Amino acid sequence: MLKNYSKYIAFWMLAIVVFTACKTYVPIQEKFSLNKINKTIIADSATLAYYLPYKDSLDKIMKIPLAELAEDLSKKMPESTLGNMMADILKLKTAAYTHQTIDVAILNYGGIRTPSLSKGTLMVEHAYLLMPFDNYLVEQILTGQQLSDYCDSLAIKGGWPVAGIAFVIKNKKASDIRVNGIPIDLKKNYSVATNDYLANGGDGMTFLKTIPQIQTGKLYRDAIIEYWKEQTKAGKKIQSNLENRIRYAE
Amino acid sequence: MQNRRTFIKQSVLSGAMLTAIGTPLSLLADNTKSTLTILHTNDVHSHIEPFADDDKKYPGLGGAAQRAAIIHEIRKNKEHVLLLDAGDIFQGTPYFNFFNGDIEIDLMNKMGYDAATIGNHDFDGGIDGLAKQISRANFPFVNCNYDFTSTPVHGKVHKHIIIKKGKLKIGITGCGVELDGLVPDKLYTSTKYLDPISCVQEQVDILKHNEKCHLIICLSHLGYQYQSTKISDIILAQQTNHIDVIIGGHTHTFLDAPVSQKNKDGKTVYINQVGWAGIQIGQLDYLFEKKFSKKLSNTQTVIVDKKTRGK
Repeated sequence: MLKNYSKYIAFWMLAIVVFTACKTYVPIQEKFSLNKINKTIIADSATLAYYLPYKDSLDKIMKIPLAELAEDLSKKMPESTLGNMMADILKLKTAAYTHQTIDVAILNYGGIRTPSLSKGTLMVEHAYLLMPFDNYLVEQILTGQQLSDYCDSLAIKGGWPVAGIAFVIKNKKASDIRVNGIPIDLKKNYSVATNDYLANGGDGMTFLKTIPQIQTGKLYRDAIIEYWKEQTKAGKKIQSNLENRIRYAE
Repeated sequence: MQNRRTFIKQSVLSGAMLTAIGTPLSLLADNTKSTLTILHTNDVHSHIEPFADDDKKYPGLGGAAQRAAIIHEIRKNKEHVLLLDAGDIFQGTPYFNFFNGDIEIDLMNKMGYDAATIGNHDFDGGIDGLAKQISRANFPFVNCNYDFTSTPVHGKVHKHIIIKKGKLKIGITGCGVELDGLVPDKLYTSTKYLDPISCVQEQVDILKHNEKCHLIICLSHLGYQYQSTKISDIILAQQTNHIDVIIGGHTHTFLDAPVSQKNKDGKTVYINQVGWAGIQIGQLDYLFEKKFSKKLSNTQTVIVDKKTRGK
């Protein structure tokens, strides 16, 4: 009798061992939460102590006031106040650096790295937030056909910041393209100011890669800083308006 | 000091009240259960300081010191914590322009990040800059679809890693976005972009079958979703298997809660992304139970708990 029992016990013990070995940790519940980081959280003092010396050295360069911004500017597709200011600076300063007439300025939407600027004092810091990349201003000569195709690409992207050109997005294509108010001439050449990131084929604009570049040797960020200083010197505040440069068809 | 103590007390209390999972202490007695907390950031873009108080969109939000405080706090209250980043650590404030990424990596070291993947802007200091910063990090960089052979990054990046937390074995792989046409080629030099689907599948097969990981995470800098057929986290989730969670980045998407997708076996994959600039930290609290592996098809349920810390 006893022998029989021990057989059963041995069997069940083995079974338990085998079953346990087949067991593994599996996720049975998942809880999600979002920790929003706001001012009510007491900063970690060790972290602050670590970065404050760097902050102090940066502040000496960054907190230099350059100009006054009259109204809040923000970034939006297909056209925005912040985008227009950036495209205007691109056009104006490229013309100044190359001593040539610039017909059109185009920059990539993703190239503007802060979604908004609040009215008030603009400092060096804001130029860095807008344009942290060491991108240079360049000029390229495009045929009317190339420029028209470029506008189609912009239409697919949803509308990028532009100056000197206007069009309507209709069925993901650019229509009624006007350069400085005049309908585009596909056979004419146009001077286009852009940044070297796009000119080198960035953001999917590979066709620009083959078009020769006229270098300015000037950083976009420095152009912004110069423009703001010039406006202040001329007694002007910085402002930018919506002008229906790119719009969707009704 | 008074404020800090009150804050801690409140978060402990609210934590306890909100936690359906239960406290780690009660679990110690139960060796069939284990918990894991995943904390994650993406696209922090060199945001060390909080946004200015007059910022139009994010007034006073973010900040590395505030982030560190929350991470310390959660570590104190949870059994096992994994801290992960989905790339674009660099570029966006003068800290990167002047100090070349040193500050960002030092702070991540101090916060105790467990792993990160590589974003397109992490190439902005050039391939040498990336190699230097990876070497300075105390945590591994994980990516399986960039071929760095013949670049200085070669041998510094892991195709997958395995992290053990108590009895749990967590497998992590990572993938990044197509570089051509996005990153200037002088920055990424001869780095080759390979198909993320097949590369990730290869790694998760190892993590699942060879390593028998209890949870498999993919850190992705592909982007959440596109209107075109461009490969995204949604597509990655659908066309692979074995991934439990995709921690995403690149598109700066603010998801209110993880989005679930069915993988090619019909099992659930969660995708999450928490915007950018370090203004929030995503938190996934897992409860694991020792079970027979055959029965585990779709047992987990997500409880969404939108909590704002420090209120």
